[in-house]
Amino acid sequence: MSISTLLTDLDQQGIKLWDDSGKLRIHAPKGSLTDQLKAELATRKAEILDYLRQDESAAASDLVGSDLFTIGYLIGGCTKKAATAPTPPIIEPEKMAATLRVTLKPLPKGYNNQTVLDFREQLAQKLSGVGVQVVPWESATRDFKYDIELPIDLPFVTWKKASTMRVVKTDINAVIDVEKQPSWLDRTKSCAAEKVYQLYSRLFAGNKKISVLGITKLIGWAEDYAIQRIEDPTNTQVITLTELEDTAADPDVPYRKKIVQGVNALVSTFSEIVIAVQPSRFSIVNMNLSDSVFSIDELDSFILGSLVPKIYVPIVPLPISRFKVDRYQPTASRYAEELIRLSSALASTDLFPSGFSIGKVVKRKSHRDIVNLLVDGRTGISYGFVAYIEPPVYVGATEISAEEWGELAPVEMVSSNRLRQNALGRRYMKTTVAGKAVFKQLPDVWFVSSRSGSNKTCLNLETDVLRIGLTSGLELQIPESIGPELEVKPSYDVYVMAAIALSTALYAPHMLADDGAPLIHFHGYPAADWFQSNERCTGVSNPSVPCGTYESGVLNFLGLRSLAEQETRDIDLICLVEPDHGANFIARDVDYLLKRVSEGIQQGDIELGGKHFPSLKRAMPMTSLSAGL
Amino acid sequence: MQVITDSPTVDDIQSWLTGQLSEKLAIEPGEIDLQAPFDSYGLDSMTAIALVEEGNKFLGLELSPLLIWHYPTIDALSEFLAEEVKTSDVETFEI
Repeated sequence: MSISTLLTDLDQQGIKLWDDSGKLRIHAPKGSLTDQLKAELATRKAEILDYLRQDESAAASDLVGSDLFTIGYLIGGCTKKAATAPTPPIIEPEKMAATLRVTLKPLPKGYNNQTVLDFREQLAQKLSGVGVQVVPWESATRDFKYDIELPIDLPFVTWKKASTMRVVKTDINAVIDVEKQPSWLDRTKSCAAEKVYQLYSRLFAGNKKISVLGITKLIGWAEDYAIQRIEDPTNTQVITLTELEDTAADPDVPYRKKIVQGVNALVSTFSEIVIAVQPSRFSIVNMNLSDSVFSIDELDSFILGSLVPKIYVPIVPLPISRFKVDRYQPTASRYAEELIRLSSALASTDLFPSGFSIGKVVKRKSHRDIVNLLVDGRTGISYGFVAYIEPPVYVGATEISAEEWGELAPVEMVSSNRLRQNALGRRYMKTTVAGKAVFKQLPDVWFVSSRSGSNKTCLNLETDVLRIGLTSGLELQIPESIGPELEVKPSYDVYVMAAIALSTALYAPHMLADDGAPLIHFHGYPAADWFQSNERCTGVSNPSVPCGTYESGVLNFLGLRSLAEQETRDIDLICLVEPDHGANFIARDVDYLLKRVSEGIQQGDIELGGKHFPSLKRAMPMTSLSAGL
Repeated sequence: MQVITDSPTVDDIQSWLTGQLSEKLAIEPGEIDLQAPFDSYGLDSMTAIALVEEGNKFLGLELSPLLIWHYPTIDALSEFLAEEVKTSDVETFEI
């Protein structure tokens, strides 16, 4: 019997084998591994290990050969020292859908909002229609048994009680629930639980952070009407369906007002995504502060273009452990000074309202603490970012010939058809510009950007400007004057900034060549008519993955690369659209960017919120993302 | 070649967990206190999930990531897991 057949037979019996550093480890249902099988496995151990290793390396080889893997590898600042191996990004919604498993939580007794019920039914059908597995609640959940103990240590008191709760399994990507209105009893219990939490955190927790689960343990007994029991909150998102208020769909209501409503809806329902519905339209909000209203006729395109990408890509902050951390002196950086000039001038545009402090929007301390933990200590939720990309740093020839490329050495983890390196460790990439194959050096790119939690239009040069680099890995330089009392967190948007910086250096290098370029992201769009002949726009048809994420970085990289199919030398401004979330602008210099943005605002052609997105959608043809490398 | 029936004991699980924490959080094994809460070592959600996935492989169980928060020290979790292994329908072998 061949090894392949043997392993398939064993798999069918529930017997799993794998290579554990040269040992063959086996898990088998009790009694199923007979003496005869044990003897065969022992005899053929070497063959089996070889087969398992080949299988793994074939999968890895398919992976590293792909174009998207290379881009993900580059913008992720991957190194062999990185704790997590780079994963190939998936950016096609159909492929995302095929990996997703969602479940619908049973409706609460007596729930009778017919608009929400109709929408829920359609949503389930259409998700299933695009390939998402809609898993029945019983299969999507399991009983979790645990002991309840007092959360505090009291002398001579031990109390323990076995308990069971029904939890959503780790492999479920989303739970779809409906918003329930709390009864008077629910409200009374919530109020009491909040008091218990406040007392506990004051008396016993001190400065120690309580985990999300710790908080939910303390308040969860009173929040059963809202809280979800989820095994893996990093993988499972909660989507709550609720009724859409007229103000949320009214184009004349300011974006800021809508977003405050949206964030409160997210927090009070403990959800990552809220979909609010009326019979003829609906809106979606997530922690990216999207502001999109769809007609019910657009449900099909919404499912694939907007909802599936948001379920597939959870919003997770980039941990500081991914960076090599160092210090720098911002007052000695003229790029940091340019960023300050840009940020101050943007104040008058109102495109960057100061965001909001979580403390001001979320009233309950327990809810604030949960949000704080979820956003990893960031102090507020902002409306975009401001950055300044420095000129790229090259060592040696910026481009080489095909013959020279042929003599270079491979780069570990990446296909040598795409990336190679010279004796100095400088990496060269084979790519396509204006239809021709070229071999370009990957420069070190650096940019300065606002610190997470800072006021984007009133930055302090000495404390608010971080310097981030994409070299052979990710680097973070913190201002020298920041003391240990201030916990610095890199922005959620690092992947996007790094992707735009690198792709601009590769595909529109003239924009960075003189003295770098300003880069902004705001939660709105320009109208299609606003663009001039020396400006370009791309990304309008992209799936709306949450902004700032790895996948969003890849889409921005591809957007810039698609522009390189044409001549780019005359371009002074590029707008990279992120549907549902806003737009990134990169321009040849600060003055040009400010002039054009101010003109757009005065003419009513640039605004926060989704007002101008439909005009872009009508004007922009579908762009091909696959050309290039 | 010897086939070892390998049902991990509390001590085995303790040393496995210590090794995993040391590797994932870049801490010397000697600095890890078996009774200190996981979050005191900066164990975040993503790493906790990765730890549980490794645990599933090591023990042949389908563990819930929630265990890390309900049994928040190496000592408490090892004791719980050793009991689970005993009552599990799965046997573990090593060749």
